[in-house]
Amino acid sequence: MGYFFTLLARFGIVLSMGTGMHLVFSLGGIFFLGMPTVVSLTAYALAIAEKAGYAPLWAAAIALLVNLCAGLLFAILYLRVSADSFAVLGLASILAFEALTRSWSELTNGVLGLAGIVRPELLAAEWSFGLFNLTLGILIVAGEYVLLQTFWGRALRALKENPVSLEALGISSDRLARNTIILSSLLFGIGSIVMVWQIQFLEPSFAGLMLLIEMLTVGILALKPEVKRVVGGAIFVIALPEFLRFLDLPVTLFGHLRVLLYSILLIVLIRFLNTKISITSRCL
Amino acid sequence: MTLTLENIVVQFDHSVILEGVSFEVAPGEIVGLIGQNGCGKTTLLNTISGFVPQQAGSIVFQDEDITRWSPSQRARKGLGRSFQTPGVFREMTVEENVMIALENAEKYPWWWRFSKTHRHRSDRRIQDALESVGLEGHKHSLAGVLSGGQLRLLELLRLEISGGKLLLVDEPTAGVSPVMKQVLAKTLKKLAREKERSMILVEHDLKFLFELVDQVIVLVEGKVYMQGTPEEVIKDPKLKEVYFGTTSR
Repeated sequence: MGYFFTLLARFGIVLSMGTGMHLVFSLGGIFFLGMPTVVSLTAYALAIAEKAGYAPLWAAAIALLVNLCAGLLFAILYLRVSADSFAVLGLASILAFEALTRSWSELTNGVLGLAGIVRPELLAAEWSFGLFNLTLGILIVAGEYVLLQTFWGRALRALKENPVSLEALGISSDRLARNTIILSSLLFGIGSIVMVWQIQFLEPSFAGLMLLIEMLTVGILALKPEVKRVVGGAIFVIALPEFLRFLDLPVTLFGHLRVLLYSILLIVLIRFLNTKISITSRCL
Repeated sequence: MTLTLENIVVQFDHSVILEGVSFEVAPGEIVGLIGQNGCGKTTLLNTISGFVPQQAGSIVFQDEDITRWSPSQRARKGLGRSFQTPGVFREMTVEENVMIALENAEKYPWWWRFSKTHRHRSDRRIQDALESVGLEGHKHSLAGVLSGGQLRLLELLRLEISGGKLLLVDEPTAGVSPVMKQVLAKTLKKLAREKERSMILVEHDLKFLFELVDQVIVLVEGKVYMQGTPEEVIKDPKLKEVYFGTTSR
């Protein structure tokens, strides 16, 4: 049962972060590659707040506040630089934040990490935590479904296809992109908090390129504006490496194989992709 | 005046695209903009709609200086725009294309949009709008599968729904069949006359243009060469030479 609840918890986490990636990357066409930085920053905010003596729920609220600031910062960056530079900046921020957490050992305990992060009492049991994550994931997906039926959802799809035409209709593409980045950051943050609560330990490589590759895989599998694709993508990302567990492989090799598997998958997906993934303009 | 342009100058690097362009558009007036390829017609429309910044000059729209406004702010003020390549969202259905313009034009609170009454009214409006241009049969099709003429009609329909006071229409008949040209001409007339909107129309088909417009502006190398009624412009002995580029002024 423990294995089942662990998978359930992971499903909720991937659904939450995957929905964020679906909104910003698949629908909005924004290469928000700095998502692991947002995840890491939120996780550290949670862990440090807990270590400072805040109750888990208060620590989560503080972490979400920090997450909001990170989302705002990325949104401002997006409006200040070109789309290409934003992607590069996002990637660079992953390495920069990891270096910061490694070197600022007074606050983060460096490579040794922060252990003993506790979750709220109500979620202490594995079954309750698993069910909470599943419920959270379902709520987030349902929220996205409603969002996609609204003007905002349609405008977001239009942003990726033709931002110039969107502006000509009187809809500010800057404001839309800014709000999308902030909203997806929030979803990454929620996923991050739950992830820290699951593993109850945090170290500098907590969210790196591997997480980005996983979420990009969900994003690419769910390029269409349908939430069922996000759910399918999440199941796929969780299930794919699971078969490796049943092979009798050394633990050290398992991690490398997992990265290799996802990387190959991403290359294959992009190779056979017949839809564009970034914002392009057909006019002007 | 609906629109007043004063001394507009646009430069890309060191080449001057528009040089001291000034004119006015009166309420309900249709102005035709003609000139050789590369004379600055589309750049002028892009400058008015805010997609291309000007180096000098001012744009006053409905008594407000909009020179520094963003394209979306200008559109919200009532500047509608259609493009040489129709700016419809091809990966969305025809219905969604109309819906996005309709929802943007409406000023209801967000929660009202979920009400049944609102949805019923919106459905009716979309149906009526599509029927008015003969696209009702394509309501649930992706806009990308429409023909060039149908894409134009859909774009004009969105312009109409957006409720703009001045429409900037760029080459509406490019790549369109003669039959569809007549439909487009009818739609453009309806857009301008029935709703008393002003319009600036860029068009290479002079016969099509002269039937629609009240005033014609001839652009040559980024400057206003002449301005007048279609009759006055057509009588100009030098127009052919200037228009087809055999001589300069």
